[in-house]
Amino acid sequence: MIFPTLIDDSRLDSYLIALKSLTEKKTVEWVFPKNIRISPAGMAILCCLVEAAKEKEVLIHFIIRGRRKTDALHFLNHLNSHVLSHKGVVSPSLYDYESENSLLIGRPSGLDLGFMEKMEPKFQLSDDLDFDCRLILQELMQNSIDHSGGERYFMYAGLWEKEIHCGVLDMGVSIPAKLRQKYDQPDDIQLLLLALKEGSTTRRERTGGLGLSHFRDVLRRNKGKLTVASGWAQIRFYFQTRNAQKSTLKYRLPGSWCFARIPWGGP
Amino acid sequence: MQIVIKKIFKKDWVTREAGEQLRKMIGDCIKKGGKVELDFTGMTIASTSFFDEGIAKLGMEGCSPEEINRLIVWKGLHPRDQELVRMLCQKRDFEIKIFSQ
Repeated sequence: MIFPTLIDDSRLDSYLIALKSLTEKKTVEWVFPKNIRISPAGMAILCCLVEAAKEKEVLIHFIIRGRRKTDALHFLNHLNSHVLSHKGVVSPSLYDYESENSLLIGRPSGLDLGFMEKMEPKFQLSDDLDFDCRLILQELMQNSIDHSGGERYFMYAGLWEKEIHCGVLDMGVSIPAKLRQKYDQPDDIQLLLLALKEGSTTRRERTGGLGLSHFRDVLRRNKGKLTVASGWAQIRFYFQTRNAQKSTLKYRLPGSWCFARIPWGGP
Repeated sequence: MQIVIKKIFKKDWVTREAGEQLRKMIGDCIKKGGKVELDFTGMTIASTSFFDEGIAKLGMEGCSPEEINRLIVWKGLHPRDQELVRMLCQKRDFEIKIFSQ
């Protein structure tokens, strides 16, 4: 599998091919081309793929073409030497990574609110932007813990091309699979749309369903972008142009990946 | 009674479970006719779950908005958190006044 020169949240199908190959082979080669760039979201995607490979006991060989000391190569070397080569008991913070412009954690379970405390001083966010990023990440993190069935989740934040990117990814129970227990909808796209509406919830004891709809409002106010992929569905919201693209993924994503982007000129 | 959020909710200030704990603490105190000082100093909550469960659902504990306005003293609540609490309370037709010191 040859990865694209830009790994980010834009062409998810190309990473889902890599995920699918993990169910077919016991050893895979992942080739990362010269001049590769990896956005903060791309880092979290790669962590999901590596975690899936480790769980399926598939051996991955990284072939890294570039030699220049870039952020992307530094991250790939971190994954290769720190995560892929790791033997023995897995530490909860095995995947944690920090560079000048990004923060990433992977947690097997439970809240990690320390992440939010690190964000504001690291990226020198304005008070409002810090609040919005906290709100988005906290809602996504809780959602992942509540619904994904105890799989490790990855949370990231970072600066990328005049935007702040943040999101949470997991490889647990997908949003459509969870909602299908309660709601009757024709396909995964409709179920995913329902998940983003106020008042839809799978909780029995405590009513909920406010979080995801509210953070959509936050992104709307900031003219941001939101991508949610889960099961067979992918929805991209462009709040500046008020467009939404709904599509069926070529390969099923066993889990939920949520990516938010907010335009930001810097501190 | 003083509830210092940073002290009592130092590990979790975002979930519905934590919000429920807060609601019960406030409800118990108000039922006895006592005043409650909610101290959010040094905290940014930014959680719809915590505030919905902890404040907007206070009606479920038998508290009226008038009682809340009379008996709760807000301290150090972030301006954006104030907006969030107001919005969540409005959604539940439980309109309260928040004047954070």
